[in-house]
Amino acid sequence: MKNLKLKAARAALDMSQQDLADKVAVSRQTINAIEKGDYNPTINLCRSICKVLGKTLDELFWEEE
Amino acid sequence: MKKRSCVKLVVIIVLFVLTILAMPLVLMKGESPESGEIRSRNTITVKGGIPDQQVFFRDFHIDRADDYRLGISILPVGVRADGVPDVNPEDLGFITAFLITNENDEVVYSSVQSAAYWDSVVYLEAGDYRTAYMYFTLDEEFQSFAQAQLCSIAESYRMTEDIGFENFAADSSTEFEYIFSYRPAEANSAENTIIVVLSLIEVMLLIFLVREIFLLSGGNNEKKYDERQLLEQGRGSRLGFLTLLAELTILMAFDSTGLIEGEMDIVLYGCSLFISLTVYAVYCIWHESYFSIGPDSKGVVIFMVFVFLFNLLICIVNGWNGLLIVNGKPTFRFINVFCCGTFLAMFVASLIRMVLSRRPESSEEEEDE
Repeated sequence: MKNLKLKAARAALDMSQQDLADKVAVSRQTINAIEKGDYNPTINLCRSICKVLGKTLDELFWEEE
Repeated sequence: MKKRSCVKLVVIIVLFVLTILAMPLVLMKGESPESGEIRSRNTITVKGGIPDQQVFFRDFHIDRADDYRLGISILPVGVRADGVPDVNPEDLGFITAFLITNENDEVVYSSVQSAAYWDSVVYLEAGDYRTAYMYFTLDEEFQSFAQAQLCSIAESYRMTEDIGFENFAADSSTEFEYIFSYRPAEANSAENTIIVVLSLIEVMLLIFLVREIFLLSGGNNEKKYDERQLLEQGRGSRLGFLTLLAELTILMAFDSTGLIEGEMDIVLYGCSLFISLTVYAVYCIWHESYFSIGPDSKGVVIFMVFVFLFNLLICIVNGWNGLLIVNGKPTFRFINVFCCGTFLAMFVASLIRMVLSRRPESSEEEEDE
């Protein structure tokens, strides 16, 4: 399932996928895979992403019903 | 970090030199007491349809009953083993029957050839033996010899058909070199195995050596993969392993039927190894988990091209010298061909992936919407 919240949060900070990837020390393809829903990141990566984007885990990764 | 790399480089160089030095020691360990070789050069002249020398023989002795690998060469001087198909029997003017008889004059091995280079494994009891070469230009003479069961009947019929005795025996003079060698079959295979293993170790050390020199001269020294890449590498490993499993199962089935002869087993098992490596590498490259995060992967791709070209050069040299395929069968040198294929596949996959990844990020993101 696509992660549009992550994409929106990244876009709000005017960040490219590569910028976010560099900040959390992963490859750009990994960020792309997370946003497309092709990959479920570990909790550590989720926390790193939240820290960089200034959001909480619920705001970025909780599935809306 | 640089100091550690230098130490690693020194260790690799020392190991490489040791394996290089070990090779001659294996080759020079000398003939085992049960081995021997007989060489001779003879000029055979055919006049009026009759070769001047009818029989040529040498004696040898076996101390221990065992399987022996016989190396037999009947070649015109100047013709290499791989040039045998180019020798026309009609140009020679005679064919050669090769026999090994025991002390009771019983034939333990026979073969009929024009020019040939081959080996056979034969069980020999302890005792005295004689190798004999006999020459024939006339069909009647040859058939009498064959009917005395001094050579294979089926082989003799084939030879008379292939050569056409009626038009045979043009006047000629040919200098032949005869080589006959015998050694215990097990010793030969053990020595071959050691040489093959040492060669493989040398190749791997050479690759590591080149890689370490490349890294020390400023190449990318840090490897970091993210969690998704590690996951994909795991999937690639599983795929490669299952591929190898399937290949080995098929090969074992073929091997058990006896269809795989000579060096074909090394070639086929080497091929299966390289196929599974290719599957793993191409899968990882395609899922962008082969190259680490960080600096671009151009250096690794250049290394792939270097290994491909290096092996291609070896293949061309071996092919030119007729060492790649001998007597219609691939030799162990065919493994270089598989190595070429593997690195070419990796290079092509990397190139395609690089081209696809270069398209603007916005277009990739727009796909999602």
